[in-house]
Amino acid sequence: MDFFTSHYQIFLKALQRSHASMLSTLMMFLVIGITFILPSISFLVVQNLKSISEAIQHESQISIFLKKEIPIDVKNKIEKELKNRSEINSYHFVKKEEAWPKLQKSMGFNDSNNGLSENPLPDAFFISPNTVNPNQIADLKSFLDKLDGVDQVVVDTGWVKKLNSVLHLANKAILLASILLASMLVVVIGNTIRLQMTSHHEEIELSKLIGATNQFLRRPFLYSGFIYGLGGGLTAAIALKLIVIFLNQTVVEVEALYGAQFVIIDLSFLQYLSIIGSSILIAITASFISINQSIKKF
Amino acid sequence: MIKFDQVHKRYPGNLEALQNITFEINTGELIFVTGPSGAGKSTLLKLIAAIEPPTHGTIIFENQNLSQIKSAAIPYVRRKFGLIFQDHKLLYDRNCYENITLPLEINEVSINDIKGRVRAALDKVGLLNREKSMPISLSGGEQQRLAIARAIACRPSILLADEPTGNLDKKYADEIMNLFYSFQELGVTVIIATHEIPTTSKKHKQLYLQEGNLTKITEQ
Repeated sequence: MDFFTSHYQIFLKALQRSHASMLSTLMMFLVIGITFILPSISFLVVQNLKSISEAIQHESQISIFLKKEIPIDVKNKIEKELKNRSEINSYHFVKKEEAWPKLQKSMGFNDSNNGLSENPLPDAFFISPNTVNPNQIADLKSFLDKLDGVDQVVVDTGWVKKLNSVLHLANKAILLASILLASMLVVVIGNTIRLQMTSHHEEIELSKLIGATNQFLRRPFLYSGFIYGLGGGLTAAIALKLIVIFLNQTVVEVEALYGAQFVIIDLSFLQYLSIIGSSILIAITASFISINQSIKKF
Repeated sequence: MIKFDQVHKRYPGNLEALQNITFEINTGELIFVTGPSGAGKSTLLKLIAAIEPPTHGTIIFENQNLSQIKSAAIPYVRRKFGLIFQDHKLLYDRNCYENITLPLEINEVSINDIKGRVRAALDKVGLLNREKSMPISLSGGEQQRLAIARAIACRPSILLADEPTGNLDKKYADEIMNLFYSFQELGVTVIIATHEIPTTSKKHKQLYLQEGNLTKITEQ
């Protein structure tokens, strides 16, 4: 019997076995599926939070305080540079004559009690960047610092850094949770395969006596693991897709109510494939470990 | 074909199953390994089939020293034997046909050949009309014949049978023994462990074991 035919036959047998114990096979699909859905949903939440934070970041500002008494053409030149920068979403100019009364009003002062003989404020540009990437913002600041007529550039990146660190932490938490859940899957699948082997112990013992190699004995159980992994991975992928579709339908209703525009970001095709692939890999690994331990007992 | 030279077998717990066993079996011979219960008959068959390794001594099978064989090579040695067990070791969740396909799959016989081989083996033991039956529905004699069909399906050059008629009445026991004689006539080496030698006019060799010692070798 050639290699592929032999493997095909054993795969069919493993399928028949899974079909014969349909309920436990479906339960295993569910266990694996749900185990994959949990970190995947968390990942989706983080991805969507990132997207929301990127949408909100336009409200962050970079303040450019100009030197006092600069000629109008220098100010125009700065404005022209701001127009040409792709990282800048919008900007506006505030004259020192407009800013000073506003500041006094907000502080509860007036010209008679502020203790100052003249307006201390400079003219300023206030910029909304269209990125939260700290490196891009640092580059922009460095560029602005070098412009002629600019006295000081102040970047309000504190909250961006905090949000990024929270998202970074969330990503790490998801990774840790995924590792823990994967370990749990290895134990659950391994135990199921061990039980399968125990229920086929007569066949295994007889096969060994009449010349079966360990590879021959392993194959059907490895294929069982493969079927569990494939079924579980597909269950997770389909369920995730349905969840995203359901959430997007709910978002449409929210959009209609609040007039905001928001779409739940879905996983990419490659990410769906990697869920199925990881599921298969974990299931085969678990089966392999379990089979190798059990086979020694026969 | 098979040569034992000063073979000892000791099981854990210092139980000496076989001591200083030396004999030779040639191709096509009919061998009865006899002796009382606990004499070491089954152990002797297990040593021949490489199911158990010897503690000391040398076992040569087809110019291969089984005492020093690597564990990865053992399955391939076992495939050369047709094994028949006293308790049949049939798979009761499979029908007769499926029971016989197992050794053929292990021996990597092509799918196209499997059906023919299974039917030929069932025909040889007179169970062709029972191929879809479950073993549990067969009589004791039929179950043993099914076990023989499984053993001969791969066309081994040696048949090893451990008390093949132990649980059968005389009529069925004679049927089974006649089957073994017919295989020997085809050139197959037949080694049967039995506590009671059947009356036969066939030329055979008898190894008599007592308390793990080979006390007598006779030829008739």
